[in-house]
Amino acid sequence: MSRLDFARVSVDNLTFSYGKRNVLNGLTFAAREGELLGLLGPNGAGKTTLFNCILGFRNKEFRGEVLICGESVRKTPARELATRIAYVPQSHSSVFNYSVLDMTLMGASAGMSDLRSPGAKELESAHRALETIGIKALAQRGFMNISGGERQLVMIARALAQNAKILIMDEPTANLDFGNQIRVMTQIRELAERGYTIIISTHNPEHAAGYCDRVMALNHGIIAADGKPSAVLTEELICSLYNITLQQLRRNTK
Amino acid sequence: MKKQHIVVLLLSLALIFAALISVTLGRFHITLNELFAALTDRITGRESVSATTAAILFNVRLPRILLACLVGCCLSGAGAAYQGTFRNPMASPDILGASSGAAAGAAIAILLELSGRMVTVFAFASSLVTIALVTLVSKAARGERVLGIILAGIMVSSLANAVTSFIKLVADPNSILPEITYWLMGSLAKTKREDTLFALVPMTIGMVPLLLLRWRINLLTLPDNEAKSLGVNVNATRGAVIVCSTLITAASVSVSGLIGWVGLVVPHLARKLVGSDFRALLPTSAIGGALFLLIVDNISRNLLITEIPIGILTSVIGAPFFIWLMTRREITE
Repeated sequence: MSRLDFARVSVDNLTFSYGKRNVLNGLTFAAREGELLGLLGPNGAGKTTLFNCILGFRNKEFRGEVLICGESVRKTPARELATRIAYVPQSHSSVFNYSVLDMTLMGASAGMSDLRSPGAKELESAHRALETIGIKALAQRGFMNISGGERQLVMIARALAQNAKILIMDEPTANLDFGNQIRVMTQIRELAERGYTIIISTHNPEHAAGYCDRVMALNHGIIAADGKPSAVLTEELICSLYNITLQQLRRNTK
Repeated sequence: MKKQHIVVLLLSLALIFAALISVTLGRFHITLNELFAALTDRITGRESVSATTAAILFNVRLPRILLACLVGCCLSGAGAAYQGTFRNPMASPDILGASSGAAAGAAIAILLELSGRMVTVFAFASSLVTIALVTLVSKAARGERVLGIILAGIMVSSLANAVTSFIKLVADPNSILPEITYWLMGSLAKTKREDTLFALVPMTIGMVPLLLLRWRINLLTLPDNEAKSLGVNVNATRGAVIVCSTLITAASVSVSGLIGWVGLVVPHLARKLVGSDFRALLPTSAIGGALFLLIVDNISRNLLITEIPIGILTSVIGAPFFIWLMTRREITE
């Protein structure tokens, strides 16, 4: 059914600068089907900028090439792109209190014409997404009345309802308590097993080690390391990445 | 969706009922029977009601009732749409200066002693020019788009207010100034059939696309990047919503003067009734606004012997009502 070698996300010599400051310096990598790729790096390493480029938010500004399912992100209309790649932002508050179902419907209606309202088909795919994530019981609750962890799961359900096979997640476990972090990461792992290509940024090396197939470390806009978590996540790398001493790190992990 | 459908249905029935009652209210007494007789006369060509009754009905009362509904519907609809696109529950139809612009245009027309018809046209045109100016300024501004548009709106409307103030200063205090002041208070008292017809065209042109886009307005309430990732062409969609909302606001203000609070209070009340989803919120706001302004206009023309300008009444009713809304607990779980 699928070509295993087919790279869903392919980044070639990606360079991005804010004025004279280079944020990304010629990044090249690819992510396969069913791959859970963890992106590590200190604040300001360029993780968010990289995501913005992959998602087509910065089409006019970056140099190099980003291919989503083999097609240039620059040449793909937003509506079409939304059916291939979905963005899971950090759970945030919303000015208006939508129901969880409405929030998920916004994902399901991604490929629709502007003048239409979602119909039975979209409603069904929203319900299916909520069921997959296991939060069907929340459907009629207000998005602002549920916990931060549940909100993060709703963001993931919305991305699933979009029917895209690539998920980009910006620190999905930030601001969550220990139990919610594990619940969200387990859910993400399961999605990867189902064949989704997932790129997540995280500040937690343990999440990268425990759940990801592959880890990429980003520092000063270049890829500092790339490979299996066991090979990449050495004490030396963590120390140099986050600018801490070996003693500081060991004291933390003990 | 079930509960939302019921709310919209009940509001529509209430509106029809209120409109029928409104026909019978007024110094010249008209009964419902006369209304139906006059309407059948129109079709059959007979003359079963007196010419005076028919004239008052078709030239004064019905146009005014229709206009009150249209203006209320448009101001509330525009208010709800602005609140969504600007992600700000405090946004109202005059946020970008459509009202200030219309006021300046009307003041100029009154100063030049033009006819009532031209005052409307001037107000409408100047309202659109103001918003065009806001758009140009915000395009040139750096940084966040929504913030840029709102700031440009504040600046341009303050400019328009300065123009109005200056005209009031130089206007003849015996004849022109009272007329400008009265216009600014907002009133439907001088409604003529032509006014209603004049406003109907831009109102339809603006309202229909807005209703079609109502699901998309939900997505505009998300952060821009998120909306983009959901396949929305954010700038184009927001632009379309702003143009439509402005058109119906300008059309309303140009025939009615400045009527405050409707565009803020009614969408809030509607949100309490049906929730935030614009599929239900926009129709509920529009119909609720029509009902609200129709009732207030009845008070305006029947409470005292002289008319109370409706703009004063909406503020007197709107402000305490809004405080009540704010201090109440939310109905939706």
